[in-house]
Amino acid sequence: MPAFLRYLGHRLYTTWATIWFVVPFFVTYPLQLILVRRPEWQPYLHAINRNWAKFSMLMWGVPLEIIHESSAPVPQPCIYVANHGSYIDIMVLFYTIPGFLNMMGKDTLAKFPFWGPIFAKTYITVNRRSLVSRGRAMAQARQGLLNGRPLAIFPEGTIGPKPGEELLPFMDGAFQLAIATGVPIVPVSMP
Amino acid sequence: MPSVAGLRVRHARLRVVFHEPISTKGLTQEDIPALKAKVTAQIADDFVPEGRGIPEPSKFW
Repeated sequence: MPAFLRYLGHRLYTTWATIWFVVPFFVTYPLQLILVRRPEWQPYLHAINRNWAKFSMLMWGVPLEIIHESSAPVPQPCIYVANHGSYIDIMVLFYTIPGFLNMMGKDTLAKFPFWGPIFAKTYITVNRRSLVSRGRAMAQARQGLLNGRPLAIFPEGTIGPKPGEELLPFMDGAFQLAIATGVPIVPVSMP
Repeated sequence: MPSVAGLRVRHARLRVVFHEPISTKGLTQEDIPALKAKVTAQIADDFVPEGRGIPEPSKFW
């Protein structure tokens, strides 16, 4: 019986979480379609995404503890380098990092229905197997940093088989970019 | 479209730690392995036992 109740509770919570993830997106979708059309409007689109992340997490009842080891403000622009243990990591970074954050994600994100094309135009997608795609993504990220837009990268490239336990080997891109542009790296742990 | 068949939502306390920024001024491409090792160690230091792994799917029985 406890197993059944656990199963039922899990199903109900998953349904609840899905509703509060999807509904805010579709409510704001027409506005997002408009704001994605021009680069100068995209900071407003990102603001919608930030509030979407905040609202969804509020409705999920997820307590979020944010720790800043440094009391000084984070120098901007910078590269936030984070571990990747779950799809919720993107929302957590949107929630916790102020300003017009840029994000590098794998190109499969662009294939999500409705949201994917908006993500691809507002942020950076990369196909890690394609040299051309990697080069283009690095150039986009570099240009963003030079324009003062901070960047978030998951250098593991994907969610590993043992999230929160073992990190996959980090790829070089974030570090090459930081050195080439002279911006600081801010390590971010999401245990 | 990516597979979402294995997606599981688990209620949990979330924690985000922003570490001290690391300056890259004066570093060269040769410094990348050491920089990566430093960042990896800082991130991994915050891992906690209760955050390990992917939750098992709940079963009907």
